[in-house]
Amino acid sequence: MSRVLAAASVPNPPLLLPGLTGGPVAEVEALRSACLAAIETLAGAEPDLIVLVGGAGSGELDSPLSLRVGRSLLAQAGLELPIEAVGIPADAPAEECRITGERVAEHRGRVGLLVMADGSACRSLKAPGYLDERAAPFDAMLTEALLARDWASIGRLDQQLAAELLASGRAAWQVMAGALATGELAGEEYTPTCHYRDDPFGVWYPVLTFS
Amino acid sequence: MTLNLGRHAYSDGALLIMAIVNRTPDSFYDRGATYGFDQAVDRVAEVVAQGAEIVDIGGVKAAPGDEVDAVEEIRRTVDFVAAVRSAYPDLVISVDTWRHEVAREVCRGGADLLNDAWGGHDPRLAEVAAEFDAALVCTHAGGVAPRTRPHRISYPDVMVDIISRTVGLAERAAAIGVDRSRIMIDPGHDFGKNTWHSLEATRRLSEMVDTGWPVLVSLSNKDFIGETLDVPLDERLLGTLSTTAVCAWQGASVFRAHNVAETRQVLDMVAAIRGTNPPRRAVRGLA
Repeated sequence: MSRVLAAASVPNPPLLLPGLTGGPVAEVEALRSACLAAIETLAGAEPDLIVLVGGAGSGELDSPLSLRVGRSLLAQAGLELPIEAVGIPADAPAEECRITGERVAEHRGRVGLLVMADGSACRSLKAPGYLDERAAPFDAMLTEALLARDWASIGRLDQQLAAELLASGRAAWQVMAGALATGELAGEEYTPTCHYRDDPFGVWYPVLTFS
Repeated sequence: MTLNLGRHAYSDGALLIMAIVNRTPDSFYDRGATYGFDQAVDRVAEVVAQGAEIVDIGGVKAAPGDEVDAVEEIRRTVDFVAAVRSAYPDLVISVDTWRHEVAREVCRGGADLLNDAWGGHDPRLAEVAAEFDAALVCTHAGGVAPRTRPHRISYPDVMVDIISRTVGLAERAAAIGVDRSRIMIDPGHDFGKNTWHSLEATRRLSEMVDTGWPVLVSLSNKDFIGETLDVPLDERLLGTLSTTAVCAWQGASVFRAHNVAETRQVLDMVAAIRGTNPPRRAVRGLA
């Protein structure tokens, strides 16, 4: 009998790796606090295993940034549990993501799911991808869908648009949707909580838990 | 090696600022701006806020001019040293003097460091440093008398002369009891040197660093910078700062400066390039 007891979705900018900002940067520390709070919520469900899901770009399949940031945040939170890492190719089609999520839900043991995912990176003139007017509505739609546990809408996210907006979390969120939809069919109940949502550097960083 | 100044121990790679505080009516750069006691107190507060670790209090201008005897030099410096000591218990207080009589009085007043800019002209100065466990700067001045200008000085090899004299002074000081960890050497830019000499001393500063003694440089707004760029006194800041960066990169530890805030930025930049200090805020490309 598999159980995904709870899930947390946190962004994965390199900024969250220890020391990478040089001196402390207030905006980054606020984000980090929210991420650690989300991991604390995840730990509160008393899992005995963390399944860590993150997108992997084509050139980084060995050690994707998303999984490195995830492992680092787990360490920063002091959470000492076995970690099973699942790298999903950033360009994986929705169907592949859903199936991967369903497999996570079939895992034996008490699973805490940590999903590494960012929204668009085109939210301002200084954003990494410059300003794209489609970014804000895209991020609003996907964030509301996540908080509404509308897994079907997450499964239908426009892959092409997400790629154009540099929304690197699309595939990982679709894995999470597959896993939590399966969990709900098996009788789990997930209460969504938003710990943080902002774009201090033009990238959309939602920090959410489902527990 | 560790450099001990006052209550502080600084490790290799530390980049320290010695801020100039003149209690003189006639020094070349500030032209008497901090001759008054209150003005000098304000200057100390300002340079501490700007990040100086050391203040260097001077009662006699370096260039020739009105005679200032030991009594007058003591009057200008000792009470002020005591006032700074009282207001800033942790601040490293240096006094720029070549006279042992003055050195003894300022050490009694709380000075931590004797900046002997005239190259050991008074051999008893080092004895005072030993007596009070004070630090000492051993400077190259080419053997000239205090407050004289260089006139047709030549060296077979200026850096060989600098190292020979400064290391000789440092070893002598250590031999008579000055703590080795409290001794620095200074090439003495402009002192007993023409502009060619000072440029060569800067170019080859790493040879001084290689002796193992911590190196102090006193570059601020000096004539070799003015001549190199052919600019008047009030246009030497960029030349001073670029020279500061070159010296820091080669391993100098202490920088005697008028312009503390600007010097701090230069040294922070050098430390970040060297990799010993991180940037204060790195987010570019990492969001």
